[in-house]
Amino acid sequence: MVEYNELIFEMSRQGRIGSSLPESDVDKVDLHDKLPAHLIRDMPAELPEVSELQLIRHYTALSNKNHGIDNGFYPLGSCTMKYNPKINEDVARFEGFSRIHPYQPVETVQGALKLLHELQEDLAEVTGMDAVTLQPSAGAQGEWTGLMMVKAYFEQKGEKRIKVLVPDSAHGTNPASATVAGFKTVTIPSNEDGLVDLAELKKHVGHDTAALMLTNPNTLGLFEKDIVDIAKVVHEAGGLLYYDGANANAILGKTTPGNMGFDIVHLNLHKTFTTPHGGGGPGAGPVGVKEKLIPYLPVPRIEKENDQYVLNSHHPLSIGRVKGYYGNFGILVRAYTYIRTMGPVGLRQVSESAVLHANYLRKKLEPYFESPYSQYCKHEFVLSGSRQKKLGVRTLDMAKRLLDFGYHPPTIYFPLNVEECMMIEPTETESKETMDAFAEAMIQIAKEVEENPDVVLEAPHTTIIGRLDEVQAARQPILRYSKEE
Amino acid sequence: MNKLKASVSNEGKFPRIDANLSGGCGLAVNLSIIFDEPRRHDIILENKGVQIRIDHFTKRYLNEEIHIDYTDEQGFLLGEHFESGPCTIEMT
Ligand SMILES: Cc1ncc(COP(=O)(O)O)c(C=O)c1O
Repeated sequence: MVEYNELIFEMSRQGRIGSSLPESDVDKVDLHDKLPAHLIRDMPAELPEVSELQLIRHYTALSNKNHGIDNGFYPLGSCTMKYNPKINEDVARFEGFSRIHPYQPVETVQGALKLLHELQEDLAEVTGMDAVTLQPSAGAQGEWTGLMMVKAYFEQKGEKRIKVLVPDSAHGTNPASATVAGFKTVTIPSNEDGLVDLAELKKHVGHDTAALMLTNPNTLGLFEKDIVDIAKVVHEAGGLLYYDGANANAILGKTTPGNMGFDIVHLNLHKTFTTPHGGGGPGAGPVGVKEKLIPYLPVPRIEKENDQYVLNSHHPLSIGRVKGYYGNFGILVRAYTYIRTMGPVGLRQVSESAVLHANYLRKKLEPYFESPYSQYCKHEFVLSGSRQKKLGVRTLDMAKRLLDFGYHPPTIYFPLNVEECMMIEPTETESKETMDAFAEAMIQIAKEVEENPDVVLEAPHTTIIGRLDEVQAARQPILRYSKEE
Repeated sequence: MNKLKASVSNEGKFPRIDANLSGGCGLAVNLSIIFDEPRRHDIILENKGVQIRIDHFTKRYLNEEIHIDYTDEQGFLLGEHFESGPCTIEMT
């Protein structure tokens, strides 16, 4: 086995190449005749010179170091790192889906459009909305798309509403999207139960409120039980309710944001609907809306006219296109496949098991870590490392120590309103044995903090690179290889 | 310094330079002066008769030299030099 220990640049030997090209039969051109001097490099590019086999071994070894859901438990709260069934991949590779082009005449891609249209309808049903756009390619882009519709809606009504209310437990993308969409964000503090403080909310809601953005269950894994009253307060003031659907894994088939009173919803297909998480790759953040917002949906809309599926751009109040073509098509095929393979009963089982798993793990860990909220959680829960902090060990140290056990650590230091926060989401696809083993590792770490803290403070010990100097990495990042340095 | 001295040992709480992380998208480290109880393995710095505590974790984020100042408007200020603004290290 080739271990990854050298940079590909360090393996480089002058003149070694991975392919043999025939002798060039084109006359040499002097670049100086063709390009201005400042565009011509005076040093050769330092590209690595390796053979094809070296290249393959190097990157294969590197990829084996990666931690993914296919090789280990990944309880990263708020991210729903559940198993991505391989049947999704098979279907996405069908020629009828993988070999088509967005510029093809619509008559020749009726099957693909049918799939998109059915997915829109399925997602509308799951969310309790009246129509869905599949264009946005991430949760955050879905938020921005939704807020642009909110803006267009009030502009059309001739109302000046500039504020978007966001609870302090919200994901950072909520206030960011509101700001990018041109709103002013107002933070609503949570009460001691980790829920929206209704009295505080009432103080801030007014004639200038455009929307409240809410995640339910919220990022603490807690269900906002006052949601009906919250919706009433916002609606009575003339505002709209935006549902951040990142946590939809907790409510699938049980209730819908539509039922709770929301007007706009985004879903993260790369969380709830088992499409791969990006790592920078394509995601999908479809947005659903209630009737009154339909005119503002992005165009082109995928519609059915008689027996034909069409792309309709004739919607004058639309906020326009938010993504090239029609969204990340291959990802949408995967989500559609998931919904078809699960069916309504299967989707309900997803949320039931996700919630059961989270409560099981929470109960196992509660004796060893501070648990800031005592009520039952939904699909995820938070613990606080405050007890360990008094012993001189922080959550970041414990997260590093988990690497030694082969686990991806939970989300840490988020939400911001929990000291030394750990946010754990086991998901429905993990077995009891996996959760038990993870709990044992966490319990062992809690004991190490008391008896042998150095082993935690100096972790990780088993990774190819040990504890990184984050301060130096932040202050003097070296982002480019150069022979000289 | 006088302000620090004056604030010391009210109810068994001591001044400490404390690093706290906040996450979500990436991590940021915020350094601040707080008053709290001793933690195991604290490092104790002494300057002009005032003891300041630092835990093992916080030490990682501090340079050799650290300045502390106090203004009525902003409370305690902490930095390598004050022109650098709020003492935050962004790690994304
Ligand atoms: C609660 C919540 N909202 C929104 C988002 C943003 O989604 P995306 O990363 O797809 O932009 C996330 C992602 O982590 C999230 O957890």
